Amino acid sequence: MTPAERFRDVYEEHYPRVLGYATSLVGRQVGEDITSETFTVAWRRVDDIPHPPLPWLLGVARNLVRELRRRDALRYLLAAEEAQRIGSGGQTDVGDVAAVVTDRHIALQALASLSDADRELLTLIAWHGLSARDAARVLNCTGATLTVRLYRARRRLEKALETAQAPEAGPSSEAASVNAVHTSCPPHGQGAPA
Amino acid sequence: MKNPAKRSGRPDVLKVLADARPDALDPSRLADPTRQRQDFARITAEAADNRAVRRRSGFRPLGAVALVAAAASVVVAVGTVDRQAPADRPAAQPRSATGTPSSDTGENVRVDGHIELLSAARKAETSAAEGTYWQTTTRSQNVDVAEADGRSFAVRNTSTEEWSVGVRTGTGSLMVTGLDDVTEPWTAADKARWQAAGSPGSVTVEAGKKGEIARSYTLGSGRPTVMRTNVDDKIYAVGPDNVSYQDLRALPATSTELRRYLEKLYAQGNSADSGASDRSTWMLRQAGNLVTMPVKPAVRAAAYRVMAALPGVRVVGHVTDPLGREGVGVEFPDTYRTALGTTKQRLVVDPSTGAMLCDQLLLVEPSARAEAAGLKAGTSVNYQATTRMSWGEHQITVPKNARG
Repeated sequence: MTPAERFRDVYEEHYPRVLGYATSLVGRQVGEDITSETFTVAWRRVDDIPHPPLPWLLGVARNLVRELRRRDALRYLLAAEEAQRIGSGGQTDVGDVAAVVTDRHIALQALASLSDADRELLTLIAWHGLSARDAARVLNCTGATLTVRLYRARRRLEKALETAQAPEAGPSSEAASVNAVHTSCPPHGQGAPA
Repeated sequence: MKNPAKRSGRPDVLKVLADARPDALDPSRLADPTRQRQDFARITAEAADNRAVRRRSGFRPLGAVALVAAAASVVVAVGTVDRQAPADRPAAQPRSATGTPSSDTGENVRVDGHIELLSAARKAETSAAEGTYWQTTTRSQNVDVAEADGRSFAVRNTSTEEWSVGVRTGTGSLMVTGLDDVTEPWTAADKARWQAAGSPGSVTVEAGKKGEIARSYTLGSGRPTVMRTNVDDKIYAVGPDNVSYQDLRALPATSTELRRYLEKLYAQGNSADSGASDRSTWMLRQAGNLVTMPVKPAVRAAAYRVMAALPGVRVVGHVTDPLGREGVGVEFPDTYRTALGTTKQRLVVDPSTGAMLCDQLLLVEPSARAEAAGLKAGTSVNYQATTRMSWGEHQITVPKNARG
């Protein structure tokens, strides 16, 4: 298999997964750019892509998002807010099946109440198709560390689910993390008073 | 998805979580064959060149200053002077700016834009004076869609900015923004809708990529603000660096050297893996900014030549800026999503004088809200047009009512 063929296979198979992951971090629009950049990196280092490729690709995407955050804070902020809305179910079509929507809302509400680190780990596995071992690669930690972290994160999610379910959550229950965004135009600068 | 082991009769939490994944994150729903194919073609084509050019890998530390500045402000926390707003804002060049269109509409208007831009470069080579204060006057307008009482209408804010940069030892730099600042309904039709909504004194507009941010505008006139923009002898920012007048005068004066210099700055602040269009965008902004600074004429000319040769940058024949002045359009490689729809950024250069006339954000595809408020494709939703740029011997006067 030539490098170009290898890249094509990796690309075809993983594009949607990488896009899903990037979208969860920075929303769809910026997520597409991150995905595109991720595969640009992959193409340049096609010889270095490990097997399986997904954890590596998600790791690259994650780094690119961090870089965006440092490089273009405003754009990142807007993108992350969109991602947060998506992640809290804000953009899903509210279907007729109230029960399903409710379950989902409860789960998302519980998820939103966890720490960023817990949320990242749990969603890598539950939403983005990684095994625990692969998630360790993305997060750059050892398998043993990850096992402990995952165990604790699951426990906290269980607790949060119980809490979220407790007050007979009706269809109108709001996901906790949906917060109104109020950002005003950045000031014209922090120049010294003249 | 993962093992649905049960705990105390309930499904595994990871399974519960997996089932709750928002549809917007479902890979099977995210497939977009067109975008996917386009990206594939672009990546495999373009990256092949880049491989040859830069063999770096890995992520580099970032001088975040410049681009964060680009997102926010004129003066950055560290004291950098950077004239880029989110949409970037190069401005001007010595310019009489009586600004009447040279009205030869008709034949000859579709001259090759690149040639025109290079002719701007030749013109830019000629002006050589030096003085004490490098002074620019910029007229700005920003249009937004507001909502009040269920009605939507366009509002605009217009204002003038004066910036006077002292280049001699001991002189300071002052910027006065918000002169003649007025926020009002845009057109007569907008005014009628605003009145129908009860003529509210302040209105809410949506900003951000998808209108997720609410921002409030107070209608009427505003007060100017004054600020000092120099940090000791550093008077401008070039990429991540703060530079003095001496630094500016020492910039490379050929396009090849200037491009290399800018590329080096770019590499300091960005990973080698950021896309080619990002680099072009960055280079265009920097080159556009340089043109507006008191650099040597040869440097200004080199900056135009760098612009003309940037991959992905479109140079279009004759365009008219919002003040009615004709010039060559230099368009940034990417379009940007805003609450008003898809937009593109364009600089307008006067090829007959080598002056930077305007930096504008044009609506390419209005959003539904923008369209409802009467904004059409081609509308300039934001611009900074430079009406004066020249040397002066005296510092500008600050209006009494200016906030400091």
